[in-house]
Amino acid sequence: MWWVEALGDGFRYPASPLPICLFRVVIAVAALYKFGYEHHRGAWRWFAPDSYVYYRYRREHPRFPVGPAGYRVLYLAKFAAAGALLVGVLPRLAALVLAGWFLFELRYDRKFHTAYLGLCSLFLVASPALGQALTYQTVLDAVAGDPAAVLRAEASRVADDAFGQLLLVLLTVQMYLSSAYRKLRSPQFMSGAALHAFTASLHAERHAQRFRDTWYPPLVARHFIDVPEPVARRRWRPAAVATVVLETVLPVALLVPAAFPVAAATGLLMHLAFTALLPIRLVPFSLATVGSYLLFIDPATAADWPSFG
Amino acid sequence: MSVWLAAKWTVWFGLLLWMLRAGFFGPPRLFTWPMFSRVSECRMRLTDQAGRPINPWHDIVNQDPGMNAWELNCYLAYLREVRGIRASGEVTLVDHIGRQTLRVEAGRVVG
Repeated sequence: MWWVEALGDGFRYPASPLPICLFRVVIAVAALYKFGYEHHRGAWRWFAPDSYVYYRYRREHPRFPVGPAGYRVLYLAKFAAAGALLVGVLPRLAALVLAGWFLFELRYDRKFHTAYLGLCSLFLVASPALGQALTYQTVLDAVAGDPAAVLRAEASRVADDAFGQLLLVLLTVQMYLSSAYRKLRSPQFMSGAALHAFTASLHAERHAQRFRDTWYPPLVARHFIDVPEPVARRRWRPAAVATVVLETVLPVALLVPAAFPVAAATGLLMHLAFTALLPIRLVPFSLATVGSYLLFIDPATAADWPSFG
Repeated sequence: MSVWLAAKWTVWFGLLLWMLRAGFFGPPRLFTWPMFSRVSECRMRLTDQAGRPINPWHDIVNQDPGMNAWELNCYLAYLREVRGIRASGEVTLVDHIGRQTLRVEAGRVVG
């Protein structure tokens, strides 16, 4: 297995930079999607002097002062960084700025998907190959010549430092295993109560929310939400158990080349189901996690990817 | 072994230990991923001094439905101090301890 060889050789593994560059693009798209919908929800004003988000932030972090002006500077920087990461302009600096933003965002809005995106951005910084493929130059060259030839040429480049990629693989494995373990230890999750309470609460408040997060079909609401609590728990329990089983098996299967295709397809379906719970908010997280599967594939095989099809 | 490689191994093992500790032991922090694992819910039925309903979702635009006691008190303080609203009504908090219904008068939890 390539990752065993890479670890055995001190994080060196001569291979195509295509997987890590594809993941760079995925993270940039996920970040831009997140920033876009948050901007639509008024994020530009979240640190206005009269906003609750800013009030709460000041009370929680009196010794970490970022005022309204500082927030807006960081706000513009995050868009610039995500754009730069997408097109591959100073990609490591862009990833570092993005990581800084996400870690700052965790100070006023603690979300697991923000933490995951932040850590992915941070670990991307460790990859010197980030700018070797799929940049603005790729687009310019493809427009000027043969796009397939350009992609083949980029995929056949060799990067031999796999440190960043291995860190990202480690992160995804740890995220799934930790999540499964914490859920398994939670009687509220395993009984189905947590999933029911979460969906029922957001469903009940859907008309009060200025920006909705949920659109559950009537059939789902009738069978899983608007039913007595013991019934709802019983109906949510199989989903809870399946989540823990999948989150335990998936990272191990992703690491084994023979099991990878099935694992990746299963992971994709699992994240589609997660995203259905919060169709707006979980898109970036699902993009990033499913995108990270690219990093589990032997990067030496990626030189052939542009030839497929 | 070069200094650069030694630094990489140090980062690798340091992160591994951090991930193990945070992921599997102790309270949630960075590298802990207990998504959806706890019941956490807060429903507010509050009005201002004139009896107009207060919609917390207009202020808490990007938050989960859950709120603990500290967050509830913080929100009531915000309404008092920034918006000049002394909220009254009822709040239902549901967390891992259970369900509790709290009475709010003049912008403070009174019971």
